[in-house]
Amino acid sequence: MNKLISSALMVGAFTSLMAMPAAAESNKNEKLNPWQDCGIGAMIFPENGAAAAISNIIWDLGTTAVSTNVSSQESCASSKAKTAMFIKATMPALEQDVASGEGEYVTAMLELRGCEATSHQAIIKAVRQDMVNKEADNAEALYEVLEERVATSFPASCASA
Amino acid sequence: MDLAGSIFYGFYLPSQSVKAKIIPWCLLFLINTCHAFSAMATPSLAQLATDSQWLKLLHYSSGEKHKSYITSQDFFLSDSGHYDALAELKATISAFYLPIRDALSPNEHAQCRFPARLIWIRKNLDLASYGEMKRLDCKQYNDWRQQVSAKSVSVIFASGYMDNPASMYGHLFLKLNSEAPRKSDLLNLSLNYGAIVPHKENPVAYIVRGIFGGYDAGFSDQEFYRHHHNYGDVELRDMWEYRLSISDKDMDFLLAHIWEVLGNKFDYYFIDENCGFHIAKLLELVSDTQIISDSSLWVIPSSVAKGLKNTQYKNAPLVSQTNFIPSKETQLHQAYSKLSSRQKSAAQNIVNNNFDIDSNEYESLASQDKKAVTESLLQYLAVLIKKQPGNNSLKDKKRTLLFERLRLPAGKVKVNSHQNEAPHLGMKPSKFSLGYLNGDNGQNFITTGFRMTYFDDLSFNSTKKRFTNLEMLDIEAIANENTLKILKLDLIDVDSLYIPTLPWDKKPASAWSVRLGFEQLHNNCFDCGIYFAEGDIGKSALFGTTNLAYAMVGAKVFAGEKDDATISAKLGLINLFHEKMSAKIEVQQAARFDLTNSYKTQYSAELNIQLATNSEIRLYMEKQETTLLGLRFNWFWGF
Repeated sequence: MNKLISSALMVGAFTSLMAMPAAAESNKNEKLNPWQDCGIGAMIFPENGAAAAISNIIWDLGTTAVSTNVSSQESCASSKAKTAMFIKATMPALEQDVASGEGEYVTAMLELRGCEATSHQAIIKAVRQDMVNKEADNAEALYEVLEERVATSFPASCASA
Repeated sequence: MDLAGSIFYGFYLPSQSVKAKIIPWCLLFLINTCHAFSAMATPSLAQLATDSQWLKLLHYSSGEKHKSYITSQDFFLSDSGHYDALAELKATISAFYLPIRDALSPNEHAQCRFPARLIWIRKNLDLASYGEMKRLDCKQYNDWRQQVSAKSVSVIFASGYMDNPASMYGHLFLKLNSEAPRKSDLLNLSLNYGAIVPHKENPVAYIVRGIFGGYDAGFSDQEFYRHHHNYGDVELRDMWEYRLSISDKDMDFLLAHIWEVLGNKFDYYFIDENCGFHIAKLLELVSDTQIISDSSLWVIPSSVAKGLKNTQYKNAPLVSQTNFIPSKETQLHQAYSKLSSRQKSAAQNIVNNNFDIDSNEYESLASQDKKAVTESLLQYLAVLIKKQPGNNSLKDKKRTLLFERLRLPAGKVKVNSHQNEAPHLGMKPSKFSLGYLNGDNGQNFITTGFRMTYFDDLSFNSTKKRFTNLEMLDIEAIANENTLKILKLDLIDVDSLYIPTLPWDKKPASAWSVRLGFEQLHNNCFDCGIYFAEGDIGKSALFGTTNLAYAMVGAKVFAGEKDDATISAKLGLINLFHEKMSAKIEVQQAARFDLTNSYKTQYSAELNIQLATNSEIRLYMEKQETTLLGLRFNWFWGF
């Protein structure tokens, strides 16, 4: 997907909440890249992951993070997009669970991805094998490994989008 | 805006203005006329408008002159709805009967915006006399309800966070728990209440506006994993979950009301109209009794936790279960405590060798031991990265360990979680004191004091961190037959005297303190007041598990009886030698900042004996210009 299209999609995520899922849905041959397609990076996690997510949490007898309200999320409602947002937001804790092969963050990630509970153990086993050989270990790399594995080895056990 | 305009808020279109103004007036006429005929059988609208649950739906303050805490005009369908419950009731009924306009979505209709009001009105009013109400398909609301799919609600208490003054009392938010088929608790929805603070807000404006007003606030709904990660893994704060037992019907009503308040604004006040207050008021919608008093002058989360535990719901405790959710740091200490000496030694060598795992000691370990070592070191690095955010080399070290852990067999090393004491079990936050003070110059005084919040270094508040002091608005006066004087007034007196390093770090613990207020220049004059600001930093060491020694240096500026700026050094020892007895001794030497003048050395000692959860006796001595000996009885209370 070229830069022009991804930029247009990012703008679309801001200006037309309904436009993004429709665009993603209509082009099933193309891989969904939630980092660009949904504008997640710009909307919620500008640069540095969890630190950005808490940047506006100041007064602790009341905090706010209005931009990520579930009630206002109409774009990027697919399992893939939600999984990407989850990975990005929780990576420091999630990657430890992935390394150990189990944990509440791994369970949440796979449930969010729409994978049957009976398949979780096998999926994370496969993801661990792939991550050992992966040079990058950031959130996007984990997301790519997971999607690759779901697409190639567990398509029947997980949601399609 | 006129009345018609307000009723049609969100529906009002200039091109249809005449029609828009006529219809609501007709409906209001019908409402009043129909109601006149049925007045003998059902309560009047005026009576219904005073119903406590209707007032709660509008978030009205208590007292004779009601006024809503919600400031968004969108939340009200009547122009006077933010203070006139009857007008809002009439406007709401009227709006429920309005037809859908072609250009507008049903989601904008009052039935879809106010589903809890609809439930309540249908339950309490015989709508048959008003005609048939066409029910709408509220897609946005239904989608949200389907996504939430909550069957129960929990209140989450995030413990105090000493790194931020605004977080020291802890934080409360709701978790809406779904049932099967969802397995993961992290994916449940949470509801947070908070001030809307501009990005990179000026710290002074932040404090002033936080305390005295100036920020909007509101509820926001996010997945629980965001809070679980932010509080537990990033800010390293333990959490407790109070799971509430609420009927399905009330749960439905509560969720409907949560939908109503989302996106609406409140005024924010750190001291009383904060998260604790509004979370409690939200839950009181379905509770017969108050969780926190409407007249509370200040509200802190632990008071709400106590209120929850004391609240009955349908003749049973409202709280059905309490769960502890350990922070990453707590998990690290728990993991470390479970390591064998061989595992600890191997981990220590890895730390000492800059996280190089190619050592004979590590390689000689069994696979299960390697798992324990790498997992505990990953916990260690995760915490260290949060404490040293600028140290990028830590991430490389973590990567090394992550790859090592990936090569080892799957399956976590199980560590039994120790449960810290829940916040509702601590003593109440406010204090009255009465005592006697004797000076060696022959003067005797009665002493009396008041402290708004919360605890000091010697307090036996089971939920506070050890060796911490968090006092705000602490005033003490002395009196005898001749005089009445303010001895001191601490606006803020906060310290954290034991901030330990992490396992495998051999450095001493850190300590700091900050004080701001009014006190006497020295202890043989009670008419020598000074206004002061003081800060200290230093190091501390724990001996055994109950003895802390600390050494600090500090600076102080003051004005009043004398104007000066001083530097000081202090040494102290705190001993928690019994579960109901603690003591502190301290010696402090201060001098003018340019060392041209020194002040007399100050010695102090204090003994605390806890009598009950909410009462204690203090015996104290202070020697400087003169020697004072005092006895004080403290009684703790809360709203």
